[in-house]
Amino acid sequence: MNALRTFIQTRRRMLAAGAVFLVVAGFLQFAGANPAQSQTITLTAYPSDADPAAPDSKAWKDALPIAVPLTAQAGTYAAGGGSIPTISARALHHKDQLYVRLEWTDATDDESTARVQDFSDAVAIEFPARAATSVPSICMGQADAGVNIWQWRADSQAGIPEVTTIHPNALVESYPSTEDLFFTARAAGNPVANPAIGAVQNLISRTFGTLSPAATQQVLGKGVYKDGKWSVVFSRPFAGPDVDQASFSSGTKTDIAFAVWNGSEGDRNGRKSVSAFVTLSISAQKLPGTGGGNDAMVLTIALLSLLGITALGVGLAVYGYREGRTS
Amino acid sequence: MAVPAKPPIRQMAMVFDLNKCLGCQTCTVACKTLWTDTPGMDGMWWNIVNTMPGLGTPRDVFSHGGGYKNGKPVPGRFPSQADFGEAWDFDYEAVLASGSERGEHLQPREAGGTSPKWGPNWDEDLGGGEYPNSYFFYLQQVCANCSKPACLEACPRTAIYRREEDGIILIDEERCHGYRFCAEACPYKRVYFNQKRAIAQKCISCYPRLEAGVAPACVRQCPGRVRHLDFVDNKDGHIYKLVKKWKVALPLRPDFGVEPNVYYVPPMSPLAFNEQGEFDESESRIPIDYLREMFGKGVDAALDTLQVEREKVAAGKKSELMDILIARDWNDLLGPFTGNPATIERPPARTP
Repeated sequence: MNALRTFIQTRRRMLAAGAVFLVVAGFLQFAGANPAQSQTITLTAYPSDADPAAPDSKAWKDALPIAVPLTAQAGTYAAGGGSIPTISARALHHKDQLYVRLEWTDATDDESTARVQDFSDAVAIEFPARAATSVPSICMGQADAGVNIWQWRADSQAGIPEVTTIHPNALVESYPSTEDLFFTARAAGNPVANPAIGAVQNLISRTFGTLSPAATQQVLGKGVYKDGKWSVVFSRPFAGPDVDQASFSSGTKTDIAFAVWNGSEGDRNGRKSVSAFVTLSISAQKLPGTGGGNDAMVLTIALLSLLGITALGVGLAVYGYREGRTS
Repeated sequence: MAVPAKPPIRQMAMVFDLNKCLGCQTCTVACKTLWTDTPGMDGMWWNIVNTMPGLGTPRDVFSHGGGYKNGKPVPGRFPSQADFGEAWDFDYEAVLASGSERGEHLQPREAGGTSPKWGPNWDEDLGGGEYPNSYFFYLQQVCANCSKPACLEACPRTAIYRREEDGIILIDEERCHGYRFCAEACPYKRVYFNQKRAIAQKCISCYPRLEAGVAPACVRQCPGRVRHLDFVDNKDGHIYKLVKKWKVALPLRPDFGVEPNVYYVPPMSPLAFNEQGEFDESESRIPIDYLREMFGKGVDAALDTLQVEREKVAAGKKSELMDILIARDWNDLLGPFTGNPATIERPPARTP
């Protein structure tokens, strides 16, 4: 009976939360407000049994998405952007790894930066650094509260282009200098010049102009472009390797913000579509209603139980009332 | 972001004498073979010589914005890949293997068989004006290490810095993320994008050579003795004397507001012909308005000074200015950087 009560209460809470969400969302829709600014949105990462690393993994089917509105990066040139109005975010955790899946609509698949005028599609998430004692400035953090940024770039995922992509007629018999010493950016550890780092850069920042690669690069990411949409999954183990990076644990909350770059709009750096911080809740409990994948059945049973209990309650109330009158 | 460049303790500068340039591109090739010969740098010409009037390299080089107007940044854009030009091949087959004895000329061909529309130094020797008043001069360009470097102030990653010891502006290849705001901001379009490394690159004024007391390759290799090099504050040096004392070396396009540290001795020109085919004493072959646009208001006085000093020498008198420009000993052009790259002690080769 206790288990049933807990179940009913949870279900009620969920229904109530759903109703509140709908009312708030409806209100915001008409008011044109930006809910992210008031931090009323929570993205909850529930535990997942399946591996969610691939954007099309079945694990994501049950994860509840939140829609986060994006705006142009405020400020003077070279800030700007704003061509991507919203991003859909989901989160899960699996074997003490956090997974965040982002999806947004972009009519053009911009994966090449071969030509001088080409820029790449990209997406990033920002967390407060573990050392941050207050919520950092969304704009690259501040001295006493740094941020940890994971950026996935379509061009980095696609790999470094061949010279012949822009010079199909180029004929080079041999390059005289091929050792690392002559590839200064790569030799200096610049992540954009190093294909070995992969599609995701793990970055830290403590104000404008200080964005730098983090000491460790263990954030993984994979993006898929399909039907006019990008889906990108980021993942990293919960434990932050140092205080400049974010740290996660089950049953805690932190902040998370999003940014999207639209390459065909010339987006890069401060030219991007950004959100404010929203709350990321890393749930210790599984998402109620999941587990067997029989959502409809669970929901039906829950609803029937709810109706039954309500009817029982009403019946008892009526019975009690009558008993009171007659006694 | 937008950190003003700290003034250097000393400023290295160059003067290019446009009256002596042969347009041979030895400087260009010296630079190419020394610095821009790795994959991704194929299309880079940190040093380039273009015929003026002309569209320059990249195409329409001075029309892409950038720099400052009344102290405010001017929005710039970078030239497209087409403006830089595409590598092309030649139709060797048609000429060498067709069997025709004559009539076939080697033609450049792009991929797909089309003729290229543009490339570096595309409009070589075309110049301006109409016969008999046609004219041109060669314009050499490297990074001008500007005192108000628009590239540096445009970089949101503080990846560009100005060295204290010589005022040279460098891109930190560890920090550059290839956003190319610098390429937009440079009014001379001297910043290139390396698509193999996804970063911006530009002329580095051969700083490792300077540190070893050796002049940059483009300066040292110039067979025309066009290029003078020194610190601006050396009052006995060529730069100080040409720029500050004789005022015959002028900045390129001073209206861009970036205060470049490469100066040019403007091209002198013969008198124009009038309709009767006689010299027109009131007009020079290169229109003075064009030179004012290129080198600013100081160009009239500079050309007058050059004329006066040249006549002085013609009359058998001595002229300090002409002695500097003639540069009888080419080592005099190099200021304190007279080291010989063949004899300097090299650091041991690094093993990775």
